[in-house]
Amino acid sequence: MDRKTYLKKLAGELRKTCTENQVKDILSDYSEFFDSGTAEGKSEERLCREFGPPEQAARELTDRNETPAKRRGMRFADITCAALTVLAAAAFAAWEKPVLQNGGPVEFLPALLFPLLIQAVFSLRMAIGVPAHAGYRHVPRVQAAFFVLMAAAAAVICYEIVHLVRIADEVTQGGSTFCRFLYVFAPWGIAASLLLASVSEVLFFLYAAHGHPKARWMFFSDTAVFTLFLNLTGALSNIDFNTYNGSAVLASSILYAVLPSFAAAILLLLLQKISASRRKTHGRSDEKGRTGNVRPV
Amino acid sequence: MDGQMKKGVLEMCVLFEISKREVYGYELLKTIGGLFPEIDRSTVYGVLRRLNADGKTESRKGSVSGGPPRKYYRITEKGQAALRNSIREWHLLRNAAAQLGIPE
Repeated sequence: MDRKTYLKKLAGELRKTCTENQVKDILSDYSEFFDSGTAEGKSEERLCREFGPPEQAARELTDRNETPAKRRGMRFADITCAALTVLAAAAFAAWEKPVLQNGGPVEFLPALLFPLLIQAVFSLRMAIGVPAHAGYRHVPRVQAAFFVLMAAAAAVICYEIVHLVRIADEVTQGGSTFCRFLYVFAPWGIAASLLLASVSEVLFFLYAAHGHPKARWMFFSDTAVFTLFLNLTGALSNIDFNTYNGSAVLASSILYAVLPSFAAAILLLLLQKISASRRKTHGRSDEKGRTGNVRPV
Repeated sequence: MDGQMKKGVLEMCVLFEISKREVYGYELLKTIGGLFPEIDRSTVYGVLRRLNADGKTESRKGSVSGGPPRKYYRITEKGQAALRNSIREWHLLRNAAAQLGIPE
């Protein structure tokens, strides 16, 4: 085996469990070893033999005790992420009807549906345990593309808001002051939550790609903001401004927006706590099983 | 050699070698690899990587004049303490084995 093949095989094995940064770090160290060894006059063939088979090397460099638990935690996150993505796609479909039919400049539903579906597929693949696939590395890139489209959508929504504010009086004729307020406020809320979701999405995936523990919290904020977005969207598309009075609108908007958001956030925190405590007991049983330190990387 | 024992001894040897002076990765792999020919050098590198992650050693980028950049490793306070601890345990094990009459 030559140097190139060895490093390629090693990288492939490492990517199953390590973050891209760790893989880069390890590969740069191996390149240095190959350089030093070659400078000594050793053949690449011989150096590869001395390092041992790449599969074995990757196992020596990988955290055998923590990886399965980590992956379990991620599986929960991935399933939720996929479900949320499908919901977001559905919300776009529901939302486009009442808001954009007032004269939207762009039919951006198909454009947004595409990255959403890619994300759903990636999340589901990861959830059913396909992270070994090399495509896993591209998830943050897909997310970046997704973010760009989200930001574009937010920009379009801002345009829509100007339009909606202009026609608010006309549309909410006969409704209460609160109806008018909601009609003006809800699109702003949608735009703001979409922007926030975009930013937290990117932060989440940047942190996740670099294996940072903060990724967990970014996932929460992401979910919370998405829920807010979905509910505001739902509230806006479900209100009939001619038959609802102020208090009914207030009650339904609380019902549609506030309660589910809180419920989702609390549910997520609970699930996270459960999976964290499970991870703890899992880690402890591993601790007992090992006497030396078997925790590289 | 079996896993746990090998890992423990290997870690002590790597730490001891680094405690003598600052060394670069390949040099260390060669020294330790030469002592344990049946152990892959990737295993030694794994031990070194973990020591570094645990803060028992620290690394810096450097190079000899004209040479390629290299990562140099040196021992930290935490590493010194861990090394003293391992050497003490190693002596206890050896004494216990000697008392039973296991030949050196």
